Amino acid sequence: MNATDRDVLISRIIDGEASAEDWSLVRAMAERDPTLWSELAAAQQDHTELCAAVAMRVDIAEQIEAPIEEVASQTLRRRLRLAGSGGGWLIAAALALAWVLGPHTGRPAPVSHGAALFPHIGTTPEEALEAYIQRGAQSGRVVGVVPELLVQDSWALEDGSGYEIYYIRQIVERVVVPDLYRLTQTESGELVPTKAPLPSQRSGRM
Amino acid sequence: MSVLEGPQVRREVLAAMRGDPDALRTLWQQHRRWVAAILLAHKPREADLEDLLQEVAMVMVRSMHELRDPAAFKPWLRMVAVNAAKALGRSTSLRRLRYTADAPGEGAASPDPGPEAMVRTREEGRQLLEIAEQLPEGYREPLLMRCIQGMSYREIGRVLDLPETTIETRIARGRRMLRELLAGRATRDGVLKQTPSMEIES
Repeated sequence: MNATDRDVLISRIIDGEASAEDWSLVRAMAERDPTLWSELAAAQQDHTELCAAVAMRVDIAEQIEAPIEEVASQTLRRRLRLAGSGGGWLIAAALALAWVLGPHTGRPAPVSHGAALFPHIGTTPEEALEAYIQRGAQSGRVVGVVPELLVQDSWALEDGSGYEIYYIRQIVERVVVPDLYRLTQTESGELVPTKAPLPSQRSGRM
Repeated sequence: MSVLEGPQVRREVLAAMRGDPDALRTLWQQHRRWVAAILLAHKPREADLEDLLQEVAMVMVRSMHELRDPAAFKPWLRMVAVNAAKALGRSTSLRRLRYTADAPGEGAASPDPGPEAMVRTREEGRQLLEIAEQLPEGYREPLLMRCIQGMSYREIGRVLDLPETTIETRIARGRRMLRELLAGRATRDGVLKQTPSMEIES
């Protein structure tokens, strides 16, 4: 038996993985070389002390949580920055509207109690969306729906049943607000909404 | 069934890949201790473990959706940890504290029983960890991981992408090296030497 085999046997005993055959081998070896028992005891003690030290060090991990909200916030800020720099201030202003005005004027109220309470919107997301568009058009909120969907990501499903696609649906809306804001960047890099008055005439693009 | 293995873990990995916040939280809580052990095995000694853990948690949450194979989650998370530790090592000018001949083995043991025993054990454990951190990478990782939540050879093998038999051999050899280094037999001129017995076995 070479040194590695001896080490593996000792290690198995320390880890509680030794079989009856392993123990027989150890006893036979110890009969020829009784220092094996003291070597085993020393190795066991080293392992216990090492693990105690490791446990003390890694205990700090219990205090570290996954930063879900922080990452979500960073992602939103990054998207706002991209919109502000790449799409011009009009896009940034549109995002600022959603940001400043909140969900009440920018999108339909969430359906939280099932379709039974709102029979007029239907039972499927498609029916609810269609109802929203129709009622929005009647009230003047919805101007139109852009036919193209903007595909963000797509991949094949693991079970081979098809593809998963993430896309953005574009609905053009109109809203009247007392103030208009645009996003500007402070010296520290924070995006803050600031008032951005426009001339009173229409751009004529709509 | 271990909390680190099984169909439930696979479901959580899949959910986390889709961005499910609860799954991300749970996964991190289940795996953060062995991630800490990986960081211990790779980080520069002066680096703060807490900062590195926060960095790894951040990367995991931010990049989990890029993972394509749920079975690759653990090796992937390990690589995130190794990269975080090594990036810190590259970016910081570090004073290398070297293992010296008289540091680990001498002056630690006290024959006195009683309240001092606990302190002595802690001190010896600290020295052992210090030596373990100096072992070749292939040995120190499984050796430290074995101390985490009783991780089995198989679980360690999944993280390191190695067969169980290799993990078993490396842990056994790593323990041998620890004992030798602790006794001061494998040191010369005050600096840990890479001896033939420390070459990686697979």
